[in-house]
Amino acid sequence: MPKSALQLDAFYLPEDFAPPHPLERHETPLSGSLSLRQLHATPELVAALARHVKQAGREVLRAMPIQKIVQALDMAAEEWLERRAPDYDAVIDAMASVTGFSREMVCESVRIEQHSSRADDMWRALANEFGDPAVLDKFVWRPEAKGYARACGPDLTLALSPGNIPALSHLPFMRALLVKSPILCKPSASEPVYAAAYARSLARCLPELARCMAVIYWHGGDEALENAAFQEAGAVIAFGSAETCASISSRVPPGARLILHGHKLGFVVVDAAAVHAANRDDLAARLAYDAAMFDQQACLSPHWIFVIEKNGEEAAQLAAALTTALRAIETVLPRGAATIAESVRYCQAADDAELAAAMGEPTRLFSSRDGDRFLVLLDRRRPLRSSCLGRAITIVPVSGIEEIETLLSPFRGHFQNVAIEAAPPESMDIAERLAWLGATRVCRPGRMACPSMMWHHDGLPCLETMVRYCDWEGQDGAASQIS
Amino acid sequence: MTHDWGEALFAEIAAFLAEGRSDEDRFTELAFALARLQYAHVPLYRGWCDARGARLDRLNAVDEIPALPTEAFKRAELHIAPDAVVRRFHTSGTTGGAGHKGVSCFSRADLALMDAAIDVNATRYLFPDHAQRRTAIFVLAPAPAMAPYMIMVYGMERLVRRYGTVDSDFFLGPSGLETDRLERALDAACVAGTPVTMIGATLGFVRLFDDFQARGKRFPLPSASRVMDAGGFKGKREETRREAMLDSFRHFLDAPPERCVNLLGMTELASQFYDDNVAAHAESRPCREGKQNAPWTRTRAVDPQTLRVLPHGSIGILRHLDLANGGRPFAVQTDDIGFTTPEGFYLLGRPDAVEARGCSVTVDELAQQRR
Repeated sequence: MPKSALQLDAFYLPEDFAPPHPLERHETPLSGSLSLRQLHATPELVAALARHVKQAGREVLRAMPIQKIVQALDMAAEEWLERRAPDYDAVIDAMASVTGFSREMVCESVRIEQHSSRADDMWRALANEFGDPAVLDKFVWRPEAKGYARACGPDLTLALSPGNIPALSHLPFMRALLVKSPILCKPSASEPVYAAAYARSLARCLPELARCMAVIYWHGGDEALENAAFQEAGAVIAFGSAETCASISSRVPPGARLILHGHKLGFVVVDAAAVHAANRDDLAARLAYDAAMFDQQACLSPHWIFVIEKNGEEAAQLAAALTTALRAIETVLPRGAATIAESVRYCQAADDAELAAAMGEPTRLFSSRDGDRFLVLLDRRRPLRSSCLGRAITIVPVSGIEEIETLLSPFRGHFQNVAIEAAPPESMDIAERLAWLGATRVCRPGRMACPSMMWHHDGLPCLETMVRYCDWEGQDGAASQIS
Repeated sequence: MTHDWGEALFAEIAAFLAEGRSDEDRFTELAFALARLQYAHVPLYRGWCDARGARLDRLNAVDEIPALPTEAFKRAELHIAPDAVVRRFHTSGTTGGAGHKGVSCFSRADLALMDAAIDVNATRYLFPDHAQRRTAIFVLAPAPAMAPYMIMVYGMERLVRRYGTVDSDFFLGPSGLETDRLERALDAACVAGTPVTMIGATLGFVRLFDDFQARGKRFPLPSASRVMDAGGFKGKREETRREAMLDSFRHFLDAPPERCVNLLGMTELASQFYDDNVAAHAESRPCREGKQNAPWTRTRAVDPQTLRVLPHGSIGILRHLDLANGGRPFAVQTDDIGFTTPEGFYLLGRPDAVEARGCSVTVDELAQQRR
């Protein structure tokens, strides 16, 4: 490897950390002259790191005003949004190389993640969940409770970070630090880059935080390493498949808060009235963004677009417009390189549609197989077909919201994000039904990939779930004595 | 055949098979004619070609012939003359889960073409010494009466009749592999010095050798014995496991690699694809790489997204053209991952073995969780 090669650390150690044994580093070459450096994790090292940041959290974070933490997180977000992080290009290149997403997609992903992580967003999220965010700094008077309350974050948050969505690993950092909890983060194998880069960013913005964070990779499911971390954790935030989540919840000791985000699927509901000529292309462009973002690999991504038809033509009109829009977006946010297996799944999905059409079944492939790097399929067959993902979107014409409920009932428990394009009062009725079906977020098409911090992710108040309240009773409103 | 011109074409194809000689122009001419015949008489193939805008009356090259996905065999019974179908073989259904099986339909004329394909291929790649000797063929598969829907068993029975001695037998019974009976037969052959050909599914050999290993059994088969295993490992780490398999053949049966041949067959196709090692050894020439195309078959790797033919060495999905598929669609697009070389082709694996990325759950995953 040439001397000029750029090494990027995929780990982050607190600056004052004394390892229990000599550290073993290894390098993984990525694209060009870039390589990723990782640490060899041992149970002793993981336990020592956990205890170290835990101690630092007690010394540093407990007394740190929430306002200062919000300010640091905001400054870090700005570094990434303005591309001022000193290692910005290397981090983007590394993420593109590891995840397979196009560079443009990685940049957009970082932008989306950090755009919704500004001070204003954080204050509103804190207010949304805690009422008065000062409850994280001190006992505050709660008139309804006729007493004081104080919210204490866990003494250590362990984050088992999400899959390959670039930069999403910053989310557990925000959740932990906003409740004054130090964090030990294990990045995922498919996006091991950003967590350490983000920790470096935070340490630049607020050097005291440098002692309260650690990032180290190990192979997910390694029980010796994970159990060493679980023993120390007051809260565990994990993302993963049903199998991963089940394994984690069976091993986290009782007493630790467990926040699991399993894999999910999203969809869109469009009312026929919204497919009129004046709105169609705009709607298609917004849907194309939702389907293209993260190459449809995120839990937020839509699998199906249900079109509640009136005259039997709206779904086909939308499919044609969406095909055009996805062609346009390919030039701005190109789809990443597909693995051979992903390409074969694509091929199978297209074959399935074309065979059905050749047999006279009510399906139609709108995208071209020889040229388009996406699939748009209009499918009236029942039951619903699986999407192969990677920008493969199925438009499903339906008679009404009742039919959508029926079609989706086999997938109950796996919903999360839903976009609705309809006007009141239809939109109210649709949202009401989808809420009961299990959706945890409703937005307009074009916003699916960009939830705000106010969102109750998977239906939970994510910050409040982290804390333990201490209620102080029997005080008679002598608030002035304390505040 | 009910159609005069179809009958004439079948006769020409049969003659081409029997010649066993490469002739690119002849192949092209027959392929065009067969594509047009199948377009005219198989509605699903016609619909498929029309949807793709293919003009079969204006073909310039073999690779312009649209290939029907193997999935199509699961959707409908595909044959140019459904009334003439006398045999139906079932595909194993490895892709769509249990219950999602395909059917491969054969008329009498199709069976005759398949017989010819089996004979020409086996003579060349498995029994190059057939003029000097027959061998006892021990088959790790059920007898044909027990498995009328397995095309592999049909082919193996053909080998037994054409190339086997009266000692040949099938060793898979209703309750599995009949190891005791097989061991007695192997012992007898070893004592008598009678050459043996063992044939069976690759995974059947794996199970047999596990059993031999557990009980410390080995059978040093007489020279001129050989092994043919079919089907591979369902596409998982084919190449590395092949090495281990060859070690096992040598260890348990004393069969050196030049006497062990692997065969790839598909229920959808009448022809099989053999490795060249046994033939090359018999002809004292270097072994050609990869699975071999008989003169009446072609294999391409195509880009899974564009379906365009890829150059040698580029990894894609395999497409086969098999003129012995007279009555069934003969241009078949598989979803097997592989690549071609100037000498042959390699199957690398199946896409099922690879997991999806990201945190979006797929409907297939949900189906698996509920199972």
